[in-house]
Amino acid sequence: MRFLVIIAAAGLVAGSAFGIVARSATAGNPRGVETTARHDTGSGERLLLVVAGEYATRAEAEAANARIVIGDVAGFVVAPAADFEGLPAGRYLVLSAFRTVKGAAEFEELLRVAGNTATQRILAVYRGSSWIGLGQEPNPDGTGPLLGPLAPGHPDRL
Amino acid sequence: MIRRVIVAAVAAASLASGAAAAGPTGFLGKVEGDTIWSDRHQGYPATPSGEAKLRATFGAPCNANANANSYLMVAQDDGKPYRVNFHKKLGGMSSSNLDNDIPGHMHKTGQDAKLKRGIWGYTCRMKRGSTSKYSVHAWGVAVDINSAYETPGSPCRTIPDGLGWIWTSHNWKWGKSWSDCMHFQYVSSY
Repeated sequence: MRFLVIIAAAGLVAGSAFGIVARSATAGNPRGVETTARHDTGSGERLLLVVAGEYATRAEAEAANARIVIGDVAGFVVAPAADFEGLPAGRYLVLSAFRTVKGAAEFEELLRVAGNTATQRILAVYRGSSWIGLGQEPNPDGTGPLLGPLAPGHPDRL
Repeated sequence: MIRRVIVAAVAAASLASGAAAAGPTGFLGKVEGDTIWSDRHQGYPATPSGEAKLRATFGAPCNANANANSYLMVAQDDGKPYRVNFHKKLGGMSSSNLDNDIPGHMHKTGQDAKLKRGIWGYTCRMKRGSTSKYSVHAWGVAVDINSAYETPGSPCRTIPDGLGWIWTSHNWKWGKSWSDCMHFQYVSSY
């Protein structure tokens, strides 16, 4: 019983924290209508990463990323693994980040069709500040791209 | 004489129909199973020019309509069907453009035999190299074909002009004009 109470309390704290993130990230865009994704970094959010590889140096990661071509559409970005909670320092990831499982799955399907790299999924909280591919998945409400965190309790929220 | 011409025409139509129905080389959309395919040219939206008109015609990128239609294209090199998702206004009940007219023309002329692996339409992604500008694929108004064989920035290797012409004659722009041979889009100046 005590265990359940602790879990519930932790959930409330986490929910509040994500709520703050949600309000701040969508403050200028309350309806989620697409404007620009340039500053949508997802810092502080739990994100689903589609990872094409990890490398010892940024140069190696950038070189590997440059070899992945998906027509004229954006593929992956390079980010330090240390920018994600729980991932080791000193490594660099070639990745694209998503806020929904559906968004990640659509990208993986594109990669498969394009004959590209095998990937892995990692669920992690982002603490960096650079753009890691967010804004490239549909908002579940159908209005356009998803440009901020989904509300706590939303069924598609990670 | 007239009767002989009619009989020949019916026989030819039957053969065409049979080929479409048997069709490992054909499309698995409306064309397959049709007794006689017809080019309808119905409900084509005007091809927009520039981002403002693109949005005015097709809405926001990645909106629900951008992914509302689909059909299967069969690549001839691996024999696999590839699903092409595309905008509501270019097919289905709205238009005959992308799920009747273009595949029908490709099948009728045998150009569908030139399709190769790496075929897709809608995807909610930015343009390569951009962090804020969406690709036309995000509106469901772009299709890439033969991408396993074509390289952006290089001349066409596997897509003949006859195949490209079918798309351009149905209001599409062909990336061959800007060295992106695999790419077709229903918008100009974007």
